[in-house]
Amino acid sequence: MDRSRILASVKRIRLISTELVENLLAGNYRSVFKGPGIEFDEAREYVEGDDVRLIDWNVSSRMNEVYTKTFREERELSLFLVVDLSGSLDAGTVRSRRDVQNLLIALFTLAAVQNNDRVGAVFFTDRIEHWVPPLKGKKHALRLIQDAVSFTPRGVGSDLGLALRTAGEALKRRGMVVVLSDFKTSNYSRDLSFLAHRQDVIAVRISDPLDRDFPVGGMVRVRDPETGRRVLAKGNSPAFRRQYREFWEAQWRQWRRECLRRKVGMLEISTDDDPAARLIQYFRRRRKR
Amino acid sequence: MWVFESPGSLGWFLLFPVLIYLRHIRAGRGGQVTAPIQLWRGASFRPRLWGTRTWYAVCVVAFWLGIAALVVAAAAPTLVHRERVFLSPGSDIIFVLDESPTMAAQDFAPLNRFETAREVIRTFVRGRENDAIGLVTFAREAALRVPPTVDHTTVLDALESVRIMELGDGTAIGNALAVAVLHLESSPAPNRFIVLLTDGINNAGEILPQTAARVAAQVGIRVYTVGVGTDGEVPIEFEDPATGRMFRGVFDGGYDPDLLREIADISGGTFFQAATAGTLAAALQSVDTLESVERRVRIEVRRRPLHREAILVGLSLLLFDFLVRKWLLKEVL
Repeated sequence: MDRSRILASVKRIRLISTELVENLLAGNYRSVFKGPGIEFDEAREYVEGDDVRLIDWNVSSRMNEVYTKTFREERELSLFLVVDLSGSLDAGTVRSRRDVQNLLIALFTLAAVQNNDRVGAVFFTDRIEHWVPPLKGKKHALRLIQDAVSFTPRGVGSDLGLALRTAGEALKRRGMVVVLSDFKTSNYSRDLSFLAHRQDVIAVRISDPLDRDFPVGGMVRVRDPETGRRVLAKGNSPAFRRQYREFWEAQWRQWRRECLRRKVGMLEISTDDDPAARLIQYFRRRRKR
Repeated sequence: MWVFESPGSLGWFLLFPVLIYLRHIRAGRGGQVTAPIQLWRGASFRPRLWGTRTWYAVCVVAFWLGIAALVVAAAAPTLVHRERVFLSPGSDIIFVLDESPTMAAQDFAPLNRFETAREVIRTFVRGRENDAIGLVTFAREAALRVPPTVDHTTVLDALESVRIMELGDGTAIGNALAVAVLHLESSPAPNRFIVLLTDGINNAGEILPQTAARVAAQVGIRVYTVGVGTDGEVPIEFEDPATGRMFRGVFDGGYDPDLLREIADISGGTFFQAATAGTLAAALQSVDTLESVERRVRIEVRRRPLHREAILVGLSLLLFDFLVRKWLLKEVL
């Protein structure tokens, strides 16, 4: 991709996302990204209406007045994106998974910036392609988005386990980790489990209608974007379509099982969905919990 | 024989690896959908479509065979047929073969007299491409098996089908010679001769051998006589074609050399004595040599271009490929 096209697409993504971020931030994002915890701020005199449970009895007895504790949320929140650059994300029927992924990256990044949070990312294929350390600031965020749009991976495949392991080792403080992948990979459950112990992980599965049903049609050759392996597909054969559906459903169930077991947030966004709407819906649901 | 009129066109075959790469292996080739069909280092989707895959493979083979046929057509394949045309007229020959029971005598190891005679006649016939050859067999009766013809396959087939004792028990040399002479008499060929193979004395028939020989001499037909067999007692074994019974026994007797020599002398031929398979073959070789005539031969080359057939084959293969893909497999893209 040449530079002008990259800039154009960055601009377009920013235009789309800025408005969406406003929506996202209308209470939703903050409450989901609560940070690692709350910290004690100060003690002040009790005013009627304050929660009696928060009365600080030690201070009250010392001062002979009723004092209450106030808290504030831990502000040092970091959002970390784990971005899959493997070839399988380049494919898509409605639009490519990559477009959805870029839009999600922009949404998360800009939301974090608006909220004055730190945001970082790791881009991976079968290796770690690119590392953006969690930092604050709009400039940093825009660089991250531009990197996401323009980065040309050298590797193929998607070693999600490696990326999760790297993120887990590098992120010392508790934060939010968002995995943006199609999860067409294997052997990541152990690393996911380790990371989920220390971080708040949301697994965003970027899927495609083709990940479930093979379209009705004639015979066609299907080529795998990562390995180049070709198979014959027969859209007019019910038996073939059943085999196809069974294969991908098994993978989908496997992913759900992994996420549920590790208590990892699950969000599935298809290329024919509106990513922002799905995201807002997801945060709303999460807040209710 | 096959030749290519413009073999340079076969050089297109050198392009085949490139074309096959472009059509089948190149990643960016058209007519395919890019979609993930496997997990990274994980499970991969392998549809069970044996019928479709088989047909597809057949199509691929048909396609490339079709292209190959067109390339071959471009090289102008020609079937070149070289034919020898004999300019000089050939001889007319009739073999007169004794098929009396005594021909089954087994003194021509490992075969009997009859089979050995059959073998040497066969060899003789193969060497006389330009000559018309006929066959008369006799025992008590004499019969024309094949009139003189250049269709040697017929002659050899007829020779194969002769069975001992089909014409009864006896040796009618005179009658047999008469039949042979009768069929050579009207022939316009400049050279006519009869080869008589017998192992018995003339004991049947209405015509004397000498008479028949004289008739032959009158019309210019030479008779070569070959006496087959050894003196003394010989074991004999044959199956009667009429009853299917096997006959075994010992036979003592032989041909009449004086008579055979007389026949040869009257007609201007030669008399041979053949006591072994080797001498029998040598006798016929001598006849061959004595009767050799100068042959003038022209080689005629006929060319039949086959490019039309090759184009037809090529196009039908391509059409087959196309139809199977579109109608049977319902290929899209």
